Amino acid sequence: MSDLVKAVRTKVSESCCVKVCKKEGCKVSLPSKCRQRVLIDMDHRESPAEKHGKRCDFLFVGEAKGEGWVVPIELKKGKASPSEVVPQLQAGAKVAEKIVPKNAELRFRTVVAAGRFGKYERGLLRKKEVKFRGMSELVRWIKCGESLAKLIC
Amino acid sequence: MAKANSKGLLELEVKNFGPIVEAKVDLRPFTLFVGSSNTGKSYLAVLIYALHRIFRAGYSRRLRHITEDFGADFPVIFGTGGYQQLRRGGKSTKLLEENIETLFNWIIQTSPKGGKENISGKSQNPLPEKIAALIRPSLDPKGGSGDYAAEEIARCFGVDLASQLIRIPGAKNAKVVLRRHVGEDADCKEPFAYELRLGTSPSFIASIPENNPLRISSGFTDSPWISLLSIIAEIRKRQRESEGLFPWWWLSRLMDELLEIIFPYVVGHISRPAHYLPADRGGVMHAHRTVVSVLVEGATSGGIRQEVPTPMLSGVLADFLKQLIALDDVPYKKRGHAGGIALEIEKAMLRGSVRSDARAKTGTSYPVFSYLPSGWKEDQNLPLINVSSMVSELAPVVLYLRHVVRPGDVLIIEEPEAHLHPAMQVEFTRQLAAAVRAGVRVIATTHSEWILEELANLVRSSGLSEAERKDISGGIALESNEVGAWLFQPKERPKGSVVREIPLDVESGTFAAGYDDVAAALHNRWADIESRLEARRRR
Repeated sequence: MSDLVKAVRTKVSESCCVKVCKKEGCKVSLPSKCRQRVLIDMDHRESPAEKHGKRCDFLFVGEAKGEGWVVPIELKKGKASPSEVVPQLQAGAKVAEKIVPKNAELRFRTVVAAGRFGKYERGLLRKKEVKFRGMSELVRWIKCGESLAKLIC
Repeated sequence: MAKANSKGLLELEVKNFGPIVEAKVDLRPFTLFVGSSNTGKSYLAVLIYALHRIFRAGYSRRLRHITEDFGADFPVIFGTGGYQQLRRGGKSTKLLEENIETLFNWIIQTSPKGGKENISGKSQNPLPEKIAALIRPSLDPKGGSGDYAAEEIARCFGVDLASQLIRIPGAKNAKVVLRRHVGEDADCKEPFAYELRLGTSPSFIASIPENNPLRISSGFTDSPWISLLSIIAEIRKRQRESEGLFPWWWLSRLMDELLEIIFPYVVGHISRPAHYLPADRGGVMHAHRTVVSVLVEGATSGGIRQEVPTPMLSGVLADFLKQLIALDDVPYKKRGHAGGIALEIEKAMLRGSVRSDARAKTGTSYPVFSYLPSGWKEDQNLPLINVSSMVSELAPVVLYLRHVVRPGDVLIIEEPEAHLHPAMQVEFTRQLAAAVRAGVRVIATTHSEWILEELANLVRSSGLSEAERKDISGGIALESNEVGAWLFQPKERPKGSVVREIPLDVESGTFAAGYDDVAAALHNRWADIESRLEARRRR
């Protein structure tokens, strides 16, 4: 197991680590290149997410070819609204800042898997950024049923 | 796909045709073909056009001579010719007379009084079974008609042989099946079906279930009845005058007329005229004068000029040109019933009017088209070559709706979005929906997300009352069962494309045609670029 993944696992309960990224009828497959990985179900009662605040569905931390990846993920079966998902992903990024070793070199992505974005929502999605350790990132978008490999690793 | 209770639906099944591996589509009043390029949308649209011509030309020699030019050698495919049917059923003179009397009585009882009464209720009266049994064989395509059908399909596509349209590699023949689901009656479980196979020896066969009653198509109002009643009156008069000699020729005419109103019940709207507006209609409008003048001049000096090879046009394009030339053959007021929609398109989209100047006025052998912007003087018409591409694109639509298309006809339009700003695409979708409301059937191929979204709005609006929706989309609405959006998707094995229906997704407010994939890819590339610019700023 890579140092990054090992370090993250020590910060979270084993019971909230899952293998399948699926929620409420929307599923994305994990990238096969990132074999060293941990997927945290943020809705799990023992997850590091705030219990009563906003949170994303999953936090993915993985490593491929010596490169670390941190990816908050939000799943929406139908239409997704940026004003809803961006704060959720931001909450995921905050959790990541706490549990990922500070000295680790990382690539950061935020991903929403959704059935659809309307034209108006697409415009908004281009304006809303998620911050992680001072970096700003626009939210990437894939469709339910697709693979994260399109965007990471 | 047609469901068991899908009364009146016409289902088209296609296998191994062009790039299409398999398709099964219901032809609804507003049918849209969407999907990636080269997946067979236009192939299916042209095939539908060809089928309209085959079924329309094939069942009525009289009808095709008075309404359209199908070419002198196109045979009558359906019908065995008049009274022979009654004779076959009547082995004795007495039985023959009984059949005739039964038929006369049924016509008199079923017809609307004086041709004015609405017959929608009466049209449900089935033809007496012993007459229906005699008519059914006429609904079978005659021997050899597979060849004629294949030739017409090849002509519409502009190829030498229909076998060139069979999907390759692997397929030996292509199959085209039309099924008409006529009712929910217990005695009408099986659809009427016509199957055409294209291959080295084309075949065309029908399945006319014996237990399906035959009825009159509800689309008819008065004129066929007036004709039938007047023929009966003529037969009776001649019987009286000739003292027992039966006027067989008139009975033959009666049977032909009868077939003409039974046949549309069996095959549905495929027996109606279809009008095809090809994707390159704007360019054709620009080049129309040049092309037509060369053709006309060439035709009139055929004997004295040197023979030059003429490049082949696809049938749909040739028919389109022919239709443009023929536009002023019939007085303006007698043609077209969708003129109101044409006017609306001119007002809302073109901000001016499309003119078709008759040959007499222009001194040419063909009509000349022009555009007059609103507020300009009458003599300031602009030739179409000098107008915007939107005007050239919409001019044929306006002309067709104004002069040619009648309720019940099918308007097939390739890429209605071509050269139109999104706002105009939305407006055009509304106008096409208005045409559907006026009884015109529309089939369109499209790549436009805007058209799909407006169509979704129009379908969703049908949940509102007329008063509630009067300021939304011009008050127009379409019921969900009036609209069919069909997605053409590439398939790896066997190589080609398959077609499936895409329902209206109420949550996302559109018909999901896969445009999201493109939008997502664009968005993610934008995010990648931003991410790298951000990294550069931080360095």
